[in-house]
Amino acid sequence: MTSTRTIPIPSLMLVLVAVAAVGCGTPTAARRFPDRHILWRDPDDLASARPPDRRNPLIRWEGTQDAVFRPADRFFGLDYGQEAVNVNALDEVPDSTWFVDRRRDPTAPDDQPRWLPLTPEAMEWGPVTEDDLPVPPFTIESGKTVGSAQGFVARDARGVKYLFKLDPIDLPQLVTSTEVVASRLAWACGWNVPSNTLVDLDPAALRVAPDATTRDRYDRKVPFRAATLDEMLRDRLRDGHVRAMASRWIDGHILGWFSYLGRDEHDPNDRVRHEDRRDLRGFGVWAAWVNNVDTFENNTLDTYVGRPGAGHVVHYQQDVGASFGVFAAAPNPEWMGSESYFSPGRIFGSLFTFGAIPRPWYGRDVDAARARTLERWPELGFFDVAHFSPRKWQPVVENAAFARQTARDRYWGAKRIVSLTDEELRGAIRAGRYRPEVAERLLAVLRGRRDKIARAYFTETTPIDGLRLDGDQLCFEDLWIAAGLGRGERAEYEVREEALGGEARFGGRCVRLPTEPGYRVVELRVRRGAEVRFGRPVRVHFIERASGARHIVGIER
Amino acid sequence: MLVASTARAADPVDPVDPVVDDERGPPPNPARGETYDGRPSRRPAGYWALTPPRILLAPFRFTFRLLEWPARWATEFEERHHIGQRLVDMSTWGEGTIGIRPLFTYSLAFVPSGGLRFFHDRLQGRGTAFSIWATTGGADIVHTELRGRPTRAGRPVQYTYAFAYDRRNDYLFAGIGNTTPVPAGTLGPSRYAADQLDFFNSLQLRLARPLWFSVGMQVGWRRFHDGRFYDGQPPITEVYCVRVGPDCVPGTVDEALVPGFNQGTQFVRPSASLFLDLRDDPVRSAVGLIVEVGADYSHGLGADRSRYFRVHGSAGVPIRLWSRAHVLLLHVSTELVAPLGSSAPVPFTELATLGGPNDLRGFRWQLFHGYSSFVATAEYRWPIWMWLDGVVFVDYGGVFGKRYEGFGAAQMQPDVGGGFRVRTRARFHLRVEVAYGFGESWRLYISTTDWP
Repeated sequence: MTSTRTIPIPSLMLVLVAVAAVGCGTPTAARRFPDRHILWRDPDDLASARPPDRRNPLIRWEGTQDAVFRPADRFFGLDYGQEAVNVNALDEVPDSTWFVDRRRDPTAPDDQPRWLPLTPEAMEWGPVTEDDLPVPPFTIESGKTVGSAQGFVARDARGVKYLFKLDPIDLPQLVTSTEVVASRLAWACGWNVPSNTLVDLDPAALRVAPDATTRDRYDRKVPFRAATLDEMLRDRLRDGHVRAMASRWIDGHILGWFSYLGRDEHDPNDRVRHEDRRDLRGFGVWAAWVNNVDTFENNTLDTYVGRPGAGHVVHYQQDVGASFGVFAAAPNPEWMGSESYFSPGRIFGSLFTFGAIPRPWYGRDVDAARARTLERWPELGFFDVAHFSPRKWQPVVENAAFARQTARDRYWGAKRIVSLTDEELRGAIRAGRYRPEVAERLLAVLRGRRDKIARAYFTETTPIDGLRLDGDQLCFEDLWIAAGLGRGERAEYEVREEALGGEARFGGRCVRLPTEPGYRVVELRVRRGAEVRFGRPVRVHFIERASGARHIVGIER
Repeated sequence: MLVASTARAADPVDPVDPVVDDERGPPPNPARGETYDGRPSRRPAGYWALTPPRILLAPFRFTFRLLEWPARWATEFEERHHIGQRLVDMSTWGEGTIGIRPLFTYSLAFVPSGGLRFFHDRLQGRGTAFSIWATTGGADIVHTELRGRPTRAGRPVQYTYAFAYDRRNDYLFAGIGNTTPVPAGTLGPSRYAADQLDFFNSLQLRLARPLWFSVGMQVGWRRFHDGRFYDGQPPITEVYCVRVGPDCVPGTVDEALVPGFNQGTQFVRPSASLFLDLRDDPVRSAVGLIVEVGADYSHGLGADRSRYFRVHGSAGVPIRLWSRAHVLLLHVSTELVAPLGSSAPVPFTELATLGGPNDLRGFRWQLFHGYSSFVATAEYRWPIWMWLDGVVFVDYGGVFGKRYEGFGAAQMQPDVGGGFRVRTRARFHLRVEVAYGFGESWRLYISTTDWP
């Protein structure tokens, strides 16, 4: 008798995925980089026709799409493990209309970049220039119709347009200072943000334009009256003034939000799918650091700058105000930052294991920590170090770019944060005009979360960076040590060059390389403390000329 | 200096001729289709190996993409027309202190009912409570209730009052005593109808922070009729009838089997109770203790000659397991009904009952009637989502004779079950539970009201 066995489809799929996974893990031959200069400026600001204004999805659909449909599409499409596209030969992101590395030394050789600190003054000002400061009196043209914080849109004495945001009545500085400081941190790390400043408004310097309008709860246009303004300001007056955040209207023709998935086909400069942009993937690491949980697309903005046909699109993170412990103009619930609104994997995991899989927001200690934090530092909301886990951090809905991060993207994002010194952080925090104890608390939390990010992502990718060829030596920085994480710990490095059949171990940050003209690849690894094995390699590709001159053509992580 | 030694195998370099020119080329230009690092673009290793599983998963992917269109339309329609906001605005005023909320309850083997609850927490002053609700499942399934607390929340003296009218024709009666499985010689479950009217008021005094003493007075009126045939159970007149030989006298109910059925009952019932609540949170308790003991005396009015005491007690202990959100709740409750001397029998509806969503969940609602009852519950609760808890439970209990006559394992029934509870910090919004009673069958409960 012949028996037949049917292999169930799920089993078959598991086998296939396993085979594929093995395939993914197979070492690949090192691919050569061409002998060319390094790309540090993405030519995505070429003159182009103005794309049509976007009909952005409504916010609830956007949330549903990000929470349910996009993750499902990604899951069933097995869209995992793709590296970011807009990465130059040194594994860095070139400047573009999305991202500008404000710290890179323009005088450094293009193959051996250097990064310079920003002065505390530069951090305090961020993207703001003298010209961006609003000049009273202000004429209110409309109410603030999007978002949870109350506010209005007004023109200053020069006719420059601003969005003014106000704090909740009982929580001064929660909205205004948070957004001012967070936008400076985003700016320092390279993203485009609006010019936000704190102002103390004198109600006498505010007048309502006769045709000013706002929107009611059903989104119907209604008049914005003086009484509306009085009601808004009444309970917020402190010493005759109202604290507000003035956000200068972004220049250019506003197109609408950009999506974290896909690209704008009407914009020829928009060549890379957004989920494959490292600057957007890396933004997720920054968002985790400052707990910017609201990365809905309606907090982004594209604007067309320049004359029609001769301009180009610039991309902004226009609202990073849901940072620290703030969400929807209120202190965030204890689960935010560690859970999204809808995480099917975690929900089913918890259901079928009867809660055996831990979730960070469980437990009375979280409730107690939240209550304690809000009592002592209400300006910051619930923002702490103890309950932060970089790998488990989540925005309130899945973000298509963050979800596709690879170890290299996370490393790049972590580098941007770790490079901020305490002095730089203090500079940014100063812009928030906090009470001294709140400023110190914020600094401590940002430092603590920065260290956690470094510990998480400088272990999955070897943090050997700042590579330079100095005579016959190859020198580098160890960001683990630079971040202050390796105190009292011995670091041993290994350098190997397969073509020359050589291997050496050393303790310093420079190693001599023998002279050998041609295309060369050197591998660097590190082993710390009691580690038995060396970590993953960083491969440095360089070319040595017959004259002995060397330059780096590529770095692989 | 790089020291030669026995090296481990490293990834080989592509065999390309060494570069000999001194001039570096310009940086790659992505605007001309070049990659950012200047190398030819290449699919990552393993990409093609994923093609077969991608093909296998394609139908699911395609299905989700199809679903996306109606989902988008519905979500945007709702948002564009502010339907949710309008519903909330239509049903809530006064900053949430006045409003209307939908109610729904369903218990398998009973007629589902739904309705509305109106609340006005300013009617009697700020911080007071007033609500009135009505649910129905048809002409013969009606419940209306008015409840009020004219005293402000948090005060050490509280007064509450309630009027309730209830009418159902699917109430279950399966005899007095342990009736599951149906013992040999007994008659089995049947359906009866009842009209019930109650007025209740109570004064609560806070003796110490967690300890409350309460005195109350209830006036009740009950009338009973033949039930409907429902879920396989016949009307009560076909089961608990007056029999002549083996045959039922049509339209009768034997008073000896169903005390108080024919003439109904009306009574006045003073009561007193002590309530100790040491729990850390009334909705998501993880530690503490809750104890209630109480007694009432019922005095039949008019033709109702029944007089009886009822004593009840319950204790619950939430035990925090490995986190605050993982809780084991142990709960016991008991009730004893004691008729006075030579008074008429206690009307059957005023006996101790078990079965249904509040005690023995694997058994039909009020399936058991007895002079005493005992039930113990162990329930494990864990969080599934921020607003959703899972529960699994075991209940074990039964009804007994006067003064716990026959108390023992032989008279007790176990059940097991599980379910979900949608909740916020303040209250439960929806409970769905499934339970299996040994000797009975599966039960399902769905309710939008708070479940004690």
